[in-house]
Amino acid sequence: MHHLTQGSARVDPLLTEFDSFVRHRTPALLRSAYLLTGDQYLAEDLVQSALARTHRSWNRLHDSGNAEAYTRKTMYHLQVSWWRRRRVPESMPGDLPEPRGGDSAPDHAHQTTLRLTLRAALAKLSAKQRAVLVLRFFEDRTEAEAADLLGVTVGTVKSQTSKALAKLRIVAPELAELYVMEGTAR
Amino acid sequence: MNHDRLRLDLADLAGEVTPVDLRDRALRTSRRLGIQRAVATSAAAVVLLAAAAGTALAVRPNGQAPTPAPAGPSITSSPSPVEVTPIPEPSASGPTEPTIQPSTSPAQPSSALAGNRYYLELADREAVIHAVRGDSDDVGARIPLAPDRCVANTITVSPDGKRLAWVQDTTDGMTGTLMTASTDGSGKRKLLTGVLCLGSNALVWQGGDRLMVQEGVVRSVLIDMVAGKPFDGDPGQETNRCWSADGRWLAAVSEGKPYVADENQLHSYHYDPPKDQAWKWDGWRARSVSMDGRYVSIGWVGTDPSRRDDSFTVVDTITSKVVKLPVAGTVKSIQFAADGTVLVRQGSRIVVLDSSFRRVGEVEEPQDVRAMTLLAYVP
Repeated sequence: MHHLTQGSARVDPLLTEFDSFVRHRTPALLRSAYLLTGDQYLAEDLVQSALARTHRSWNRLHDSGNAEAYTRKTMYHLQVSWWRRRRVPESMPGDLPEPRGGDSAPDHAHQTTLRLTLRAALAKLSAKQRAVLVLRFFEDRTEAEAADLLGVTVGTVKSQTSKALAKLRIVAPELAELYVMEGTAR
Repeated sequence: MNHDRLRLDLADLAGEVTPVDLRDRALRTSRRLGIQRAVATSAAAVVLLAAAAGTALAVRPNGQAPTPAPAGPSITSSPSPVEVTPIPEPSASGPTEPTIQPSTSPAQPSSALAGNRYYLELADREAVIHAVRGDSDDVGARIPLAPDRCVANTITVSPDGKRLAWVQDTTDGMTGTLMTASTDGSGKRKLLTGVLCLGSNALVWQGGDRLMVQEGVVRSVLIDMVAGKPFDGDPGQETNRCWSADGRWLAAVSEGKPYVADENQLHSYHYDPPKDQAWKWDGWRARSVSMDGRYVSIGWVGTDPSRRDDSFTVVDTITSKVVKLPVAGTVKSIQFAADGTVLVRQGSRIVVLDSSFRRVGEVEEPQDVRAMTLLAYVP
């Protein structure tokens, strides 16, 4: 591993590449991590841990084009694995972030309610169930891609997705009314 | 469910997160991981020197412990400097691995369980293996624990009681080095690097000589523990696998369907877990398989972070019916042993059933081991 040379202006190109990767990909990684954890600080912690492991392997990752895939795979494994399984806050945080866009007030209120409901519902799913929902419906991964990222079979992804959707319908019937049933496999 | 709407709402929810710069924090964590690896390497060197000087871990009967290692809790160590060290072939006459034997048992205890029960004690700085037989509690291997919990999460005893296996020296918090030793702690060997130590079933025995591990994050590898190298053949990639004590019958899940199979037969079965409990967990899985492959004990997935077995019922894999056990009260675990007996562990006792689930007797567990994990029973 190269490092910045103390007292000199020489910059380690590998570190520069890693810096660039972190700064460009962190926002997207944080969004997935936020859905996985339901909490800003847990999401930061999760992405930080995954990025640190990516940094440890940067020598072999930097020119392979697989850095983001590696980081995401690490992130999902850390989250789904038991010792990262911290309790996701089920209550609403004190300061709700402002929504994006210029919605009118009633739409804004409605969307905020939906968001809160969805967040509370996700908090009631298991770590693995949240992971498959995020992979399939937020990252838009195929079942095979989700299976690869989670290190499970396609059958497990299917069954966990089915269970997760079923539990969403149970714990948040108001969402179930909004989300009308339809087929899924892709 | 309207998945387009779900996608939009997930994206909306994800927009709540505040972008932050994690560059410095990631680099600090990376440095910490590097230091942990350096410390582990240094500790290995220290232990090597100690081993060369004649210091060795020894079995101390009757709970007498060897002097604890002076290293801090973050240090895990191994006396072997090489990545892969094949274990010598055992002689044809039997295993060469010494095992913990009861120190004072002139006569076979008149117990429903005459064999050795292997327990895992997780002390502050070490994992300790106990071999309990009758009133005798012999202390065997002592494996240093590290804060990463890889050792605590993986240490396991083979169904024949000859070997230990565990994962240590992780540098990334997910993978480490697969180790093996006899249950008395002697003959410690490194077998493979890059072995996953996450999850509740990181290491799974197929009989006494083969161990299934996860290499990296996705690939299952079957290790020949005698040769000390991966088994020559396709290990398969089914999920939730466990084997009968002799390694003949495999319980697994393929494409979401549970089954039990040996080389000639396959029993597909189904099980509907109690709904008032099922929603809390990630699902259920077979935790132990009977010697004839007909029965499996069932436990929740996600209930084993502290290495508790937590199996709570038995299913007939031919009829898919739940077996009514002659046991009252809460069940902590159900294990099928190599001699056909069934061990039903409860609060302070083990109820022993025969292979037809008739009650044979019960064994009161010594106070000291009641809180420990029962890793194996060897008749």
